[in-house]
Amino acid sequence: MKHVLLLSFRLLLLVIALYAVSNALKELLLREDELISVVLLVGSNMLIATICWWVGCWRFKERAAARNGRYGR
Amino acid sequence: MLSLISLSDLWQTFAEHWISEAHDLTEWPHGTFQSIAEYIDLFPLVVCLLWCLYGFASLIRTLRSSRFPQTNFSFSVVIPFYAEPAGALRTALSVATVTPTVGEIILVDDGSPAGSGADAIDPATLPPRTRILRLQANGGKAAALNAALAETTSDILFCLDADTVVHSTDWLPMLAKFDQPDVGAVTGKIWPTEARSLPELMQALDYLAVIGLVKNAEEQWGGIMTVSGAWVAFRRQALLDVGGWNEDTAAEDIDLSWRMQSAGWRIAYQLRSIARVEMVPSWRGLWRQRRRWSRGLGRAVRDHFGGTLRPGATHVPVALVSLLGAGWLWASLLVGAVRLARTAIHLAQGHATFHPAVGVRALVYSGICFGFFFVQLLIATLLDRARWRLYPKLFLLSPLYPIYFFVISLTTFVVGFPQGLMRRDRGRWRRTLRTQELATHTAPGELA
Repeated sequence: MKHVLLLSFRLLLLVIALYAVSNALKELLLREDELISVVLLVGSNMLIATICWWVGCWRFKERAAARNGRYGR
Repeated sequence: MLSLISLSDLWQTFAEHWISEAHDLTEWPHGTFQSIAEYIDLFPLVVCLLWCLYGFASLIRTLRSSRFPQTNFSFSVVIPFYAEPAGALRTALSVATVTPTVGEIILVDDGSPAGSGADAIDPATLPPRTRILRLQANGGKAAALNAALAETTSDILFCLDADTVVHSTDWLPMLAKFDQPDVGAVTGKIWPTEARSLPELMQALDYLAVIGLVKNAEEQWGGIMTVSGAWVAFRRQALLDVGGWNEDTAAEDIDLSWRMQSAGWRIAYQLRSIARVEMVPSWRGLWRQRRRWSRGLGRAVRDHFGGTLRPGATHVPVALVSLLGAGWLWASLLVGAVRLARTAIHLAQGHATFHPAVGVRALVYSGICFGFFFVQLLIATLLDRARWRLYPKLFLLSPLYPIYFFVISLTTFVVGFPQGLMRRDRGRWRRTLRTQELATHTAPGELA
């Protein structure tokens, strides 16, 4: 159960990250607004994407398993 | 200096943006087609941006000089071949010069037919510590590799195809990756040999600007979609853990990569370790090779996608991006067909062909896509700076890449992926035609 929740959370974070990158691109390419707004929106989206992608790619299980000697038997 | 009022405006813009995004989600399924169309337009740019960012990070790292520690691992090299003794010998000779010294080189003759010259290899021409393992029947590359696995006790097993020649003679960077105990395999960088014809140059562009950069990014996400079967090293323990190569598939490298990562082993990529691989010289051969890859991916998804969900699986981000990529290809076809049908109906009703704004928008989008690809190619060439002589040609050819993508990559995926999803294919060896053989080739059925 814990694994299912963790996996769902990871997948959600990864999808949010990809969505945020696409949002940033959309703002960058399509928004005809003042520069500072565009920078803010692109920056905030990229920040969200970076955090979500980094946490989503974090290898919780493997690191724990490696510590416990699961690998390299 | 920003005033308090402008900061408040900015905050409002930010809040409105996210409220509007959330509102869009609540309106589902209204506007679904529009969302799919946006996904098609934006997904390639998103992944391109990710590849470029990770490529740039690697570029910064490569500017620092690295020293790799001496290794205590024992390692052997396996070169399976079928009716290609000259190629296998050339590969073995290139391996003989590497440092640290290879423990053993095993040439595996996978039941080559009489008259192919495989049984006439002169032992005097073999490099030191080389032996030939002859299999009675042709069982496929996976069977040949399994036979070699049973013969060796080395910690690390390097596997090279018979059309591959080692370029990096220092193997410490690759071996150093195995110092991390969870690394089960390390795949190296592929350089095309002597790309002259258009198909070979386009493959060189593909390997340089796309495949290399993708693997580099994937490694940092945690997993790799597939090792390069032509140039890869495996930890023997990891191979035994997953039961070796699957002899029941034509794309044993993709299959093994997914099984290994499902079992919790990590796959690494070493961009400093380079091998040269012969490119497929004809469009037809290339189409068949790429179809085989797509079929292998279809098989891997069918057989091992469930493994992605296991505790400890290392390739969750890669599987997700692969799935979204596959979805993108199918959605592109769907939306393309709908747009085509709409245009046909529009024309049948006697309307003008296009509004000028549509043409301008398409042109701007194409320009943006090309700009992204150009940046991607630039980062890839900077990462690969030792081969600067090839770059002018590749930059000149880069406008042709979208055609290459749609004609080769998209069509082979559309044909091969469902085949892999739906049917089993025995991994019997079907050789890819090499450049030297092209002129004398008379049996098209041999192409793989």
